[in-house]
Amino acid sequence: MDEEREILVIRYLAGELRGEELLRFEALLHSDEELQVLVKDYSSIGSGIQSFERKNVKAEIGAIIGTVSPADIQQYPPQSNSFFKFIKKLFKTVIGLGVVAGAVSVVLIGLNKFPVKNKYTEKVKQTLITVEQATGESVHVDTVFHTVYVTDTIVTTGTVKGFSSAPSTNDTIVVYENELNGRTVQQAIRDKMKNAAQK
Amino acid sequence: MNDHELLRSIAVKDPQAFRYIYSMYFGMVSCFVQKNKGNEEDAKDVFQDALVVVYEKTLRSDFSLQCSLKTFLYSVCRNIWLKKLSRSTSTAHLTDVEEYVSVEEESSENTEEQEEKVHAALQQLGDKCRQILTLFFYYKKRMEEIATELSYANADTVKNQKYKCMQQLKRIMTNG
Repeated sequence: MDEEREILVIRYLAGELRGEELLRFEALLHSDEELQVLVKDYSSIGSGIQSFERKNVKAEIGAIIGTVSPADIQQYPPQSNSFFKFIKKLFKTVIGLGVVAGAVSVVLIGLNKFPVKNKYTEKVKQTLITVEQATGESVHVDTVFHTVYVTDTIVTTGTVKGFSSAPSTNDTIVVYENELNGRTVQQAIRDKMKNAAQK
Repeated sequence: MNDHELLRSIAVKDPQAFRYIYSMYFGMVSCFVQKNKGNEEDAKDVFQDALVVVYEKTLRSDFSLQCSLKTFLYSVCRNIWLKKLSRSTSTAHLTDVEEYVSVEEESSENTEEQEEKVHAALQQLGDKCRQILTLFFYYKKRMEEIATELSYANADTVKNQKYKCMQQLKRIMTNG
């Protein structure tokens, strides 16, 4: 039997024939009974031999890759090393906490309901009425920044150095908690104005 | 080692090449199979089958890699797993983890029963005959190459021997 012919049959069955070569072979197959028998035989026997050897090759490859340690298998998807992973995680946590804290602060400041309750705010509340009565003006208390704002009358009684060169109704005198030293807010404001005027 | 060097090493069954490919790409295939109703064992089986396909491709003179080996291997694994899934479910929709290309598959028209019959007959055949037939049908070696490899006098001797082996195999298959 012609070896070239046999190889052609095997290539045909493996789907390796293309274009002109395939057309020529198919034309021959149509008219050649001996070739038809050869194709039939090779199709079943050849395919059986191939799958038989395929099993052997698979077992051979299986034995080879079986020697690869699981630790040598690259992770998928690939991951960066643990130090960078830690830094990345830390960075994300800090940013996350910052965003949450910022959002909560903005809401609380906006509502002026920062949960600060101490002696100072109590003292401010007690003196509010006194200050309002003494100045005849409205007094605003900001419990977030521990500050008392007294507007208009007090500051417009004269030029107050250190606060504004041209005092107006929008000027604000600020008294901090550590400036009170046992005094009322009203007294502290007056003393502050006096000191400023003397300078 | 680049892809072409790897393919050359695979063609000669270099264990180093198989180990390298397994360590580089098994994670990817395992991830794919597990995302598509399979487990680690399925992934190992698919990967081994795919390596056999890659190996067989390297035996073909007309084969040339048109994409990266990674993409090719993934595409082969995808086809194998899709075929396995299709046997158990009517519709198999796959979740991909990589890009894939179309890979030409070799198909067999034999039924499992026919294949088993040939396998059983091959087991009964002598070593030399089995070697000749395997070298000819699977490794697609020419008579001269087989003569050199199996230390026969010449190609004609192999040709005669191969004819006898085929007849013997057919006889075994017919007689059971």
